[in-house]
Amino acid sequence: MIDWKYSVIVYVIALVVTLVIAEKRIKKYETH
Amino acid sequence: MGIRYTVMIITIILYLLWMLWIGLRTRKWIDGMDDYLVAGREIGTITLSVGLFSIIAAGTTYSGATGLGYTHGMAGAIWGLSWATAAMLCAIFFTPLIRATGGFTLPEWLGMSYGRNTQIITSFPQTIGSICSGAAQLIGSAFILSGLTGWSYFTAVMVSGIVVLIYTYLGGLWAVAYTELIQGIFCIASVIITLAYLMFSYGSFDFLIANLEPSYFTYPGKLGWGPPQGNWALLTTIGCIFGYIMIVIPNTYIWTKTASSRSNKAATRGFIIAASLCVLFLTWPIAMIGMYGKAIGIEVQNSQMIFGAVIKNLPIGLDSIVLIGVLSAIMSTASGAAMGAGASATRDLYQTFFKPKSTPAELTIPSKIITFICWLFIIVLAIMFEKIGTLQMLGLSFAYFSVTFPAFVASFYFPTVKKKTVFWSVFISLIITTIYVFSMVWTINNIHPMWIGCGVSLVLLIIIHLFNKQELKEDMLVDEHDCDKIFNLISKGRTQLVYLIDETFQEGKYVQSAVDRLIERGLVIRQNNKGMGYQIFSLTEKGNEKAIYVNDEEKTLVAEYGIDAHCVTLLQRMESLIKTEGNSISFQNTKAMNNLISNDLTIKDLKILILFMNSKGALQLTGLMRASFKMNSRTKEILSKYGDIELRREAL
Repeated sequence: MIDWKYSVIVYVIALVVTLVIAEKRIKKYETH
Repeated sequence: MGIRYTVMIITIILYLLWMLWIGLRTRKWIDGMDDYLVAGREIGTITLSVGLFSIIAAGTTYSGATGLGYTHGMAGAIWGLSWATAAMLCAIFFTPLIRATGGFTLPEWLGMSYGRNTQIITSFPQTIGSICSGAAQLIGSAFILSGLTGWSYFTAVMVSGIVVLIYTYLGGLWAVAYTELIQGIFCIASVIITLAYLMFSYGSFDFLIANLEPSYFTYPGKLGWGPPQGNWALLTTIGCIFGYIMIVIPNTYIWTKTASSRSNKAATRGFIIAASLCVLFLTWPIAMIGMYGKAIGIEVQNSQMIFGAVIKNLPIGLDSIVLIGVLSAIMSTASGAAMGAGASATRDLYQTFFKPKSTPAELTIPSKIITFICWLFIIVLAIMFEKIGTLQMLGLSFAYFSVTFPAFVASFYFPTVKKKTVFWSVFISLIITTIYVFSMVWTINNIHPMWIGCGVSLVLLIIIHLFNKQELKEDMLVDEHDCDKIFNLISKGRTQLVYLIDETFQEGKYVQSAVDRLIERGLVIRQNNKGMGYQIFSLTEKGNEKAIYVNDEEKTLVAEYGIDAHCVTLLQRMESLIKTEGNSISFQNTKAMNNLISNDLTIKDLKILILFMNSKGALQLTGLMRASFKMNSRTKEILSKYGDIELRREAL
């Protein structure tokens, strides 16, 4: 059992990580 | 009942009329099957993200997530978090690849990778899954409508069903995308209004802490983690995350939405914004609505009825807006499901069997009729299976979509998997899953059919792969002239299947086969044998020798900016036209668009070239619904360097 607030932190981190990875991929294949 | 009832009915009628008006408006935007099924690939980031958000904001989300909040507290957030997880995974691992394939539907891509038979066999679970998902939403909407207005179940199904039927029939994905944008905004408003009212009336977080058990504020609380503890139901942490991965990633409608986006960039960002919106509104906030219901002391027969019970306490007017939010959630998901079913049935069954060589314009009417028939099926299913309920009906769609998941992943990341392997694994698991879901054993043993659908398909795929050493020969014949045409396009910067499919107006399988021929001949090479690199082609040395350019400058232009001399000529004409038209030109500005076309360049060709140049960064597309194009710094750079490329060609 964990406090629900930790699930908020986990998802905010997940969203930020996704955004960073996706933007890197967009940049890599931008002109292809 | 008097005033509240009247206001509610008037609001519902106005809302439904608005949706019909959108259908009528978008009807004029249809100029071919590509417009009908993938909105001419014009959808921008915002429209895509709100549209995707409105798909997760389904009737089942309102009843399910608030119900979980009512019984389990904050753990109810897992409903929205699971969808967000699936959307994030999709954005990283699949969205750019899906857009690059150029396929309109998921089975079309599987057909491109594994042959015609696989396309046909996978279109069945996709169409059935979409129809079941649409029917689940329609059943949900009928329950809410009849509960709040007093209409009979049949009347409620017919009212919402026929409105969706009309606008989907008229405007196809354009109507669905437009309505989803408005519906998504209503969904957000409904959550904000309900939660704000509850907080204002009863007090904020302290009220919940004072009136609920401490387990309501822990995770996973009473919900449990899932399979490791032997609970194979949907409503556990792992069950819910797995379920949403199954219903989001290998779902032909999500595929069609991705294919409809303006560019790879728009598609990827659209998914991430949709996941963020989902985390913001459909997770802890929607669970809190259920928690307020519990804390206030509202008693309901079934926890899934708590949202309806809370709405009844809202003041007149606000309840109508929230009701419209719920209706929007249901209609957007249902119309999306109808489009998914219609797109797959048209592209993968009708076109494959009867009209493989048709032009997009010739396929508009069949697309409309087939989508219409799919939606009629959905209405009939909703009427017939009133007693089955939404969750069971949704369970069927989870099961059918999950059958194609292993093949879907293999098609992008496991290039050694052979055609025959995929065909037989999907075929056998489809039969086993069908027997399992219709035996209704799962309602007794509590193993959700999605585990069977995906599990059987995966096990079969691995076993057949280990024993199948023979590659099935693809029998698709490619015309030499078309092969040359595709080679020419690749040499002019059309380095992904999507550009080739759009410019040649050919079926995906045909274009893929032509590219394979060029690779066999050593003219073209893929950047990598899996992942995104697999989707990108370039010329080999031999190909470079064979390629024909207007002059050496065009060759460096293609290498540097990925566009050809023809595009630069078009950019020049656009530059002078944009100066007279203002900052940008809309696709709807027929006068300006007609100025750019010529005998060998139709309006459709022009739009495709603009979309291509946008993907290469040579132009910028803006606009919420219909796209407008404008120059950017890269355009100016290209024009300053290569602006006189055509003049030099004439001099030569």
